[in-house]
Amino acid sequence: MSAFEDRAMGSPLRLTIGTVPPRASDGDRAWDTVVTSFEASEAAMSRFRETSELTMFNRMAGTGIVSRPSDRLRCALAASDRAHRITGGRFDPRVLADLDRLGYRGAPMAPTSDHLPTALEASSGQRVLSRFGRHGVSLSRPVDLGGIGKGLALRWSAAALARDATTDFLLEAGGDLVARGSDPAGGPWLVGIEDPAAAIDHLAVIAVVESAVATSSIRVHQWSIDGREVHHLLDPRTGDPANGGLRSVTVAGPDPAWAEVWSKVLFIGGRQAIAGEARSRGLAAWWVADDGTLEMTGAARAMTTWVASEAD
Amino acid sequence: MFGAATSAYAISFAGVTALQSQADQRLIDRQSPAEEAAARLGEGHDQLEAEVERAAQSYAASVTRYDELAASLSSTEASLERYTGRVEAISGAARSLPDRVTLPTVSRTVTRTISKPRVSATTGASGH
Repeated sequence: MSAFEDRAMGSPLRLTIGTVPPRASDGDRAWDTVVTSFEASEAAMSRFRETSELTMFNRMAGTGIVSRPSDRLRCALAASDRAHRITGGRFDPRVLADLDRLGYRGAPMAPTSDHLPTALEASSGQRVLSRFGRHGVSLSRPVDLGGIGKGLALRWSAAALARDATTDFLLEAGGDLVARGSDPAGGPWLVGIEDPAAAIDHLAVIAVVESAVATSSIRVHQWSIDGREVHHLLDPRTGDPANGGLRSVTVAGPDPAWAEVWSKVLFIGGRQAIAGEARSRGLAAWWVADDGTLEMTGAARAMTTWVASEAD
Repeated sequence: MFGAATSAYAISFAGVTALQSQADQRLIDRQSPAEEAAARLGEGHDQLEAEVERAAQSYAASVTRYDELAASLSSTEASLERYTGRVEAISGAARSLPDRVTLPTVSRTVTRTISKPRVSATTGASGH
């Protein structure tokens, strides 16, 4: 087994290769592929980098200026726009202003800008981006591509590894992951679902075969502002942190970007709605309520090999 | 003189003949619609007779079919009577069962065979 680790997009980046490469240099080459791909994704989509392409577009948002984005950024903006429409507005990358207001700041928008328009201020029917011709794009509001961007970075890196004939690997980026082929023992990749209360290491273990997994959790990004506890998973309908009685939501699916979208949307929907929504969409979803209860859909149960509460 | 008388007679005869012919033709014309009506009445009668014959045949066929169905109904009624007897027998057997059955105590044993598998990764919160 070969394992490589570094940091990218502000999160740990880890590659585990299931089968021993014929040559040691093959593993190094696979890792280089991942690092190069993630660097290109971060250069295009990071809102924390002063020099990123997204920061440049965000600074022009609302001005009507049309620019031509790179293929990665154009794909990310299009995917965000599609996710916004498909989820009925519950996924909206234009929550950047609200994140900024709550103190979760990225790169400054502009030296003179003292007010960023929020997702709420965007009309409900307005698209995330406006297209001009085949390549031109203009943003109506600044956007945050954090979660979906990480999912897309995983998608592109996994595709690059597959092109390099790397067949058995587990690629992780900040809690989200893509699994291909089999683990070093020849079985499915086994992944633990983190306890958001951190009382134990894992609440459950799932077998991941040719799939992606993403988790939206408030375990890390919680802070206080004006005397109240807030977190980074905002409900675009209110502009405030979602408060639906959930601490984390995990979704498994074919694509890491869409797994990330659905984990966030289900989290925002709250504990009352999550079971119906996840089951109606056929999602493999696990969620942890404020009281620490782990629940899951039938599709998720089929992937689950061990549950802490059932083992006690 | 004789010739003149003969001529007068001939003329008179011809006139009378012509008048008679016209009277006959009028009589024929008056009788023609009655004959046609009598002919149509005869045709209607024939058709009605044919309809009555067909109705009689249909009735005879219905009577035959009814007889067959009646025989089948009798057979069904006989089957129902047999089933009724069986249901009564089953009902009687059910009434003879006790209201409660005490089951023997079962000792419950749980064997923990599943231990937490070793994982390759953890999915959870991300951090910038």
